[in-house]
Amino acid sequence: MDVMLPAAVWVPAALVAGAVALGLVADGLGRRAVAVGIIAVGLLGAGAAGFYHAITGEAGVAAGSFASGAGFTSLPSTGYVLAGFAVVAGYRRYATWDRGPAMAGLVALGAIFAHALLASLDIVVLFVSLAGLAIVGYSLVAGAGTREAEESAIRYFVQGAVATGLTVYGFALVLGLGGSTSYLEAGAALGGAAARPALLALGLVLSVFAFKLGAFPFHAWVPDAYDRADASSVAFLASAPKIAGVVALLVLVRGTLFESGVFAPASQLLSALAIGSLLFGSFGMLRQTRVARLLGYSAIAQIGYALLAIAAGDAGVRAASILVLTYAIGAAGAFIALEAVQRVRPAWDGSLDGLAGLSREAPLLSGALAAIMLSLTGIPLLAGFWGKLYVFIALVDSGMVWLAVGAGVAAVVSFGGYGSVIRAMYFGPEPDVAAETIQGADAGTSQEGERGGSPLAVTIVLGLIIIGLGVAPLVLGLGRVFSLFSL
Amino acid sequence: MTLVLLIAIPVIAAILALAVGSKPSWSRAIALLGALGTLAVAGVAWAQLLGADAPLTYELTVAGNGTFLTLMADGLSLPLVALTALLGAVAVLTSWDVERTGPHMALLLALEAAVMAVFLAADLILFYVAWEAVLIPMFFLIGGWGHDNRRYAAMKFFAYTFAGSALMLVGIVLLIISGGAGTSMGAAVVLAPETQRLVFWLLAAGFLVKIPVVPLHTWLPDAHVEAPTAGSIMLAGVLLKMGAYGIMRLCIPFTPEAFSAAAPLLAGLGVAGIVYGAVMALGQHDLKRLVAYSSVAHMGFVVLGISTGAELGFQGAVLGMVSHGLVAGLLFFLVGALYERAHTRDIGAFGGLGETLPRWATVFVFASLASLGLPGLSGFPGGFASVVAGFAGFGWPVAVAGVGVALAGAYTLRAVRRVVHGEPCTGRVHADLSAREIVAIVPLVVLIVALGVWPRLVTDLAGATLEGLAVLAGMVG
Repeated sequence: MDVMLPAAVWVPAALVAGAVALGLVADGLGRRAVAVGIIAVGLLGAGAAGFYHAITGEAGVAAGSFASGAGFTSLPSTGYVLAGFAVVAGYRRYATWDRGPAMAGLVALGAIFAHALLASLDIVVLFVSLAGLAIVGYSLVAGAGTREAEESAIRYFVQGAVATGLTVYGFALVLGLGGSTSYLEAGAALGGAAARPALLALGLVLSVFAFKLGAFPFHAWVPDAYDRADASSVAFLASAPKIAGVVALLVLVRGTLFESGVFAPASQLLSALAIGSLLFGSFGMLRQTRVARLLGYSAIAQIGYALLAIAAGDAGVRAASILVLTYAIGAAGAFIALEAVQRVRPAWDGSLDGLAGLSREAPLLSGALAAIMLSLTGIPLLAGFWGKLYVFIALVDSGMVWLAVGAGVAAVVSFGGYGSVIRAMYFGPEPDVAAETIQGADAGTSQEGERGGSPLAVTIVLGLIIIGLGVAPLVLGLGRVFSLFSL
Repeated sequence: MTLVLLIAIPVIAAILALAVGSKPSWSRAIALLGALGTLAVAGVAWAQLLGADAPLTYELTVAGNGTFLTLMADGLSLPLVALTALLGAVAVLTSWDVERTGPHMALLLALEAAVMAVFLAADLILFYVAWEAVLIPMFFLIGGWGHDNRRYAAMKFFAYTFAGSALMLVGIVLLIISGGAGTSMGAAVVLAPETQRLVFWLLAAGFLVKIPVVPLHTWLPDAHVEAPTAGSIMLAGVLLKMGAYGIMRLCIPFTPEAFSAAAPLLAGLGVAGIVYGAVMALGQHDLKRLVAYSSVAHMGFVVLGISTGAELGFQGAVLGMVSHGLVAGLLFFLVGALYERAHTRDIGAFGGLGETLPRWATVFVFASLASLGLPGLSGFPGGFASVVAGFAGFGWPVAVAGVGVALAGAYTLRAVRRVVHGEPCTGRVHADLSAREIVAIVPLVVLIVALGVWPRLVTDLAGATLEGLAVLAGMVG
């Protein structure tokens, strides 16, 4: 067995880990701004290094535990870049807050865990990275420091503890039946094991992922946590770990551990989780008055599409990865945009109504956020469309036409949520809330143009990426644009 | 290359108009230049197609990889392309003095480009992308520049048409995968009957909402009434045609058997639209809502024509689409101009405009006569051909459409009597049509007459394509 890790696996992680270590030293010396800066540079550098390896490197399996090459390198690199963007967007907050460098460090550690989870081919790696990501998640939510955030974090933690318990049972079963921690070896043995215990192991592992990804029926924590943590931290939580979780599940179900015929019911089980997520997520979006909660329900619905793709079998492999990639870029952009809204309107309370008239005050920010909302809906000329299209193709290809119809209907319902954000920004205030909101907004308006600082810049960059990824496939062909992300 | 310019010019003009947004007069000039440039290119394409014996095509080739950018213009698409270019220019002239000129013009041109791409697409994926892309600028136009109830109307418009097109996307994906011949719209695909039926209805869900046929039409009055004038012109003049075009472009070639099976139902929906639209129009007090409901009736004739599956019916449908585009465009222009002056659209608030606004009133009477299908004006040949083909295809039940025709006379003349004749209203209306407004409507008036007198203007161009389509539809049963 080759024990040397390929550069594509360790270089980005080492860069980030080094940056975090240096950052903590700088923080110890009282230089918070420097600390946050180092961490941001480390994350972006790791992303760049990762993409370099993804383009030049070959696919492979390292030390029997990590996959690398193509999507297994480019997708975690996307995670590093988005985490870096989240830190850049939160720079002012992190650099002026005594807990800030630690928060930035947590984001960076989370990105490393996400990379490990995504590339994992071994149960021990999987368990450690899931647990690590969970701890980063609780800490980021609690780190916001408000009483509500702490309460959310505790609830998140208690539910997470149950999920971790299930993980232990599930992995114990896998280990007992499979006789190895390696997916490939254990998978072969599991396929020949008695069906019922093996299916129980599958069920346990799926529920762990449902919790981690925020899928039905373990989705309740998502809107709370997203609403109460600070927007930059959520920009990370809603992006890199989602990519990692979806790909990790994909590898487990469609390629390794649970691949054999014994696990045919996996598709039905995944479809059930997906339908529940789509229903709760899409309809949940309709009644929200706070933008971050709305985006929380949106996350649940989007994971539903990803699970549908995984359920669709081999045709869905590509669909799941493209969908979660485009979703993660959109979600990170959306939360970073919320950070920017707080810069433009310091008194903003996070409500939809509070966005009224933003399009005149901050046209670039509103334009980018509108593009992101339409991309999350799945409208063409924007990245999100291709994700949805791949999912539809996968579903139809595996004969699940009616599920595709249902997924289409869910997309329409979700527009009720995404559209309301655009409506609030562009179409003037609701007649009945007009007076006080507008006055509040006007009080904060400056004549010197848009003041969004770094979050505004990052939002615009992500908006442009979303438009670019939406238009480029028309000209260059779908295969070429997304080939870097194939698994 | 001509075809690419039809999409590229408005896109570039849109970007420029937005970029100079702080200078309204520049935005206006750029928008007008862009719209007129597109119109000129459409004229060139018309001449090219008349001189050619095959459709105009364009294909982007990127080394080693297929792309979705393949365009095609034939006798079915080019009349609608020309209509889009013409109404695009009219819409720009209409919105001369609108507030936030830059973004408004940019959205209008983006809308024009997207509609062009729908009519020119020769690739299924590109077709869907363009179809959905139309929604975005229209959504912002209604929501950002509409009237009092715009927020609701914009969301309803988007949700309804997106619901239709989400099903349509599943249909397109099913067509691509079960056809197995790639994404080209020219591919010869024979689907199993079961699959055909599913594909047909999934596609039709998108098309029928857009046309719209009667039970699916409820988004239309709200959207038309709340949209700014330019938006209403594009919505009624061009966007509704996308649905009928889609049925002829996709449903008939790809799912001919399912189309034939559904033809009587389609004819019924068409006739229902004719009668329902007329009845509803009769009951309206809002002039704009009246025009909106008359659109439902006019599109009913188009659906009836398509459902016959015969060449005459198709010709009626294409003529009807072009005519309705011109007439509805003109009517919405006039109603918008009146609203700008009087700030009301209530029919009861007006009277005697024949005396106070003679030019406006003359054109309004003209447009109303065209709308009710007076022979010699453009509304007649299309409606007549559709009904004749309908009789040939479905027999006496089509006579019900006659009720709609009679009612059309009633609601049109009622509006003319109330608004143009009678006691002159005082204090509401100040100025007659301006020179800019007259420039905008003269081409419409001329074409309405030309098409009424000489329908072969369009049918000569469309004939070969429609004949081929009728052969496809007629091969079944």
